[in-house]
Amino acid sequence: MHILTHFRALAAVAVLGVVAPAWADTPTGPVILTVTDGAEAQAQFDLDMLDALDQRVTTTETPWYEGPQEFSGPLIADVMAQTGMDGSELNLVALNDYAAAMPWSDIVDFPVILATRLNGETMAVRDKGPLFVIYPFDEHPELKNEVYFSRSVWQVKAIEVRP
Amino acid sequence: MPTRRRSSQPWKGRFGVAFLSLLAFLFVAAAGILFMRLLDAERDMDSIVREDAVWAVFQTDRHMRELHRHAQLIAETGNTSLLDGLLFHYDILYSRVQLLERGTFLLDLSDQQKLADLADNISDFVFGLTDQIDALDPDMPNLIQRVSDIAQQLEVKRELTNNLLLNANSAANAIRVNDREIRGQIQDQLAFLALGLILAFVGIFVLLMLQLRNVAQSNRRMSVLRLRSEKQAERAKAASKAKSAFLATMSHEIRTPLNGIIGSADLLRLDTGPEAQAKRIGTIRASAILLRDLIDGILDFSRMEAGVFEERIVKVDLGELGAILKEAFAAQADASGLTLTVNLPPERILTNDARLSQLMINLIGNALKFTPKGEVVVRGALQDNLLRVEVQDDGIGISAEDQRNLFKEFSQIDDSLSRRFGGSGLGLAICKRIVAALGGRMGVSSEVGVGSLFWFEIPVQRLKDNTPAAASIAAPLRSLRVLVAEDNAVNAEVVIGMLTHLEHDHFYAANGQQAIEAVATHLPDIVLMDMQMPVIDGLEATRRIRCRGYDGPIVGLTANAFPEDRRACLEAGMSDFIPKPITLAALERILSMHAGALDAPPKRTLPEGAQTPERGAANPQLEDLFQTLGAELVNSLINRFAAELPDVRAALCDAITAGDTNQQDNLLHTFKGGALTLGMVKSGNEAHRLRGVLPLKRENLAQLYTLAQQDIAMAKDIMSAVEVQ
Repeated sequence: MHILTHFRALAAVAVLGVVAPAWADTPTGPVILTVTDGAEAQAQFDLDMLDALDQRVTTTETPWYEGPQEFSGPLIADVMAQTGMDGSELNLVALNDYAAAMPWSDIVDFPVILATRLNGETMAVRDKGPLFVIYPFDEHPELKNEVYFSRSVWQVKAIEVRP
Repeated sequence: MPTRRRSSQPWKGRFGVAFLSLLAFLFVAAAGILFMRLLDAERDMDSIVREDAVWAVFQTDRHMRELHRHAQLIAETGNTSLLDGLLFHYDILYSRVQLLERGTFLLDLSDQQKLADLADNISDFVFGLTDQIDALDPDMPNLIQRVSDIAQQLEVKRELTNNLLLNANSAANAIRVNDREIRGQIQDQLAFLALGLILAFVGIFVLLMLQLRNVAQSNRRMSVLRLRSEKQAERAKAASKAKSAFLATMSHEIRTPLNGIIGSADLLRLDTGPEAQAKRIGTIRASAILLRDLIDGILDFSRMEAGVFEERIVKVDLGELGAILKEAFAAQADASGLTLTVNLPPERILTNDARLSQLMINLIGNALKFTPKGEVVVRGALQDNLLRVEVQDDGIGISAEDQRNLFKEFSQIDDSLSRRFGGSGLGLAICKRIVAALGGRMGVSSEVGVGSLFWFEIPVQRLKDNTPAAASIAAPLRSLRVLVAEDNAVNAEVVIGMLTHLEHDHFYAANGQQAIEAVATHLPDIVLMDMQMPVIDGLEATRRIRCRGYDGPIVGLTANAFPEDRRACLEAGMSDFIPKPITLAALERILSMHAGALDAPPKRTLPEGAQTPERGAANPQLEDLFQTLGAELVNSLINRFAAELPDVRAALCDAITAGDTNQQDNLLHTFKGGALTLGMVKSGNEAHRLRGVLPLKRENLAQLYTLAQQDIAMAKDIMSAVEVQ
């Protein structure tokens, strides 16, 4: 396991450093998301880069807003695919250092998005922006419980991929 | 009362089951309602999408402090580079406070006005701060002052979020406790309902089991009853069938000799010459003997059926008995060309001699009857005190199936056999009863066409000494000294005549009192005692004689062969009884049975036919008398009876006038005794009948007188007829 992890880390370094980066380009605007694997590898995204990925719209009711709201943004799975990183767990870190761990299986089993927009508008920090993890609560009512609410981190600034 | 209880129980059970079922239904309904309530509550909770309120408040409080710390730091140090951090923390706080505003988010706390007020207060403050925060600029001259202002406001308002946190926490605790209590209550209620349900079901189960058991029990009882009644019906059917079969057999058996009698009588009318007539009379006699044997068997059987069995233990010499049997059956065996071997051990035993003889006679007779050719072997063995006798024949044999019915009453193996061999079919049934009464057992093994072996085992007492044993059958008698106690002169004379004929000595007593005295004076070997006598009757006299220590046989003479009379005789101390009218054969049998055989040689020579005197003739009694006493004596007895008749009539007439039924009864009794002894059956029986319908009427008397005269004429005719012969 250790060796494998090590190897994977080396592979990631190789991909990131030597070959042309796997994702479209390097951020030009302010970095709003940093993805790390706990070792040296790390990837950074600005809004354009996230917008360049396939967008999904999730309209759902949440505990944090009055009535159903329309969230949109890329699937976390796609973001991870962009980084080429792989693990068993994602640690979602918020601006205020709040953090929640999400099993990797969540992003495989559900179309979980990293919402960049609320009702078509980008979100300021005061509106829980810039990034908001949104589960498809309306499509999967069984997700409407404290466990998934706690994983729905807002004001996300970084994701740590854990082996 | 068991029947009432039994009948009311099912009803009670049904009521109980219905009641418990209703209860169970109610419990289930209540549980259903509770579950619905629980589900509703759950749905309500689920439908509210919310986050942990306490956590939200805590975050708000934390960021309030962060913001305050930053503002204070800037105010104290004047380091404007920290302004970005201040703005950042305000943004975070802002986003947090927005959440406090939301009704759904705080739903579980908002019912507490204090919390709602605090939340409003905080959000008003934070949102109100927006303008001041947004106006901040690093280049502002009074930036530090403004931040210091904000820090002071935050210092004050920090208390609000702290308060809100403490209150929210305790409110959440209260809600949790309340929640737990409600859940606990519902759980208790559910547990109670479940317990009730279980009890109700257990009750229903128990009641149903009880009902099932009752049903099973009554079913069992019914089937037992049915079986029993079926068996009874079967038994009744079998019994009725057996009786019908018996009737058919008996009718056939009785018809055959009757035909012989009728035919012979017809021929007798036509025949001339004394030799031919004698031959016919011989046939008539033989037929009558057959009939009598048949009827004797039936009477014997019905006596035993009524439970009468004489307990009589005498010494028997088995060797002697064997010799007698062989001799008795020799003629029959010779006639059929059969060999009869009788092999009994030369032992002396104590047993019921008459019954033992009867058993062996029956079995040997059967064996001879059912064996066409070959031999019949009788074997006896005495082991300790158990006598086993086997009678083996080379006869037709009996199938296993028939062996089962063999000892039943009225059963012969089948109709065809009964045609061939005749008989009442009572022989083996009588044997079986005798053996049972003697405390033994009896059986048969047989194979069809090969032969049969009948055996019986009876307990006896083996004798070691040489005491002479009683001869069982027709043993020669010594001369006995006999006391005749009889008030009726005719009867007395007849009996005395018979005794003289048999060469016995006699004494006479005319009543009970005389009898007692005579016993004391003469010490007779045997006493013949009439039952009804003047002064002291036969029963009382017997009692007194026994009282005085006389232990010889006392034989009752009675006209009535009813079991009660017999029992009365035995109870009074008599050894046996002879039914009247007395015949020579009966008298001889009784004497030989009771007196025992001594070594005295037989001194008598019987007239031909008297060896086995029978009542087969037209008036057997009279013929019997004639053969025993001779014509002269009989004629004189008849004449005396005829001469006394007017006196008897006169005395009866007086008794009727006086209304003295006792005297009437006595006179009729005396008359009857005399008449029957002389074979005057019609008048004798009439007298007997009249004794049952006292008081007498004069017409009865006239009728009796007429009958008596007819009887006397008849007797005289017969006597003159036999005298001619």
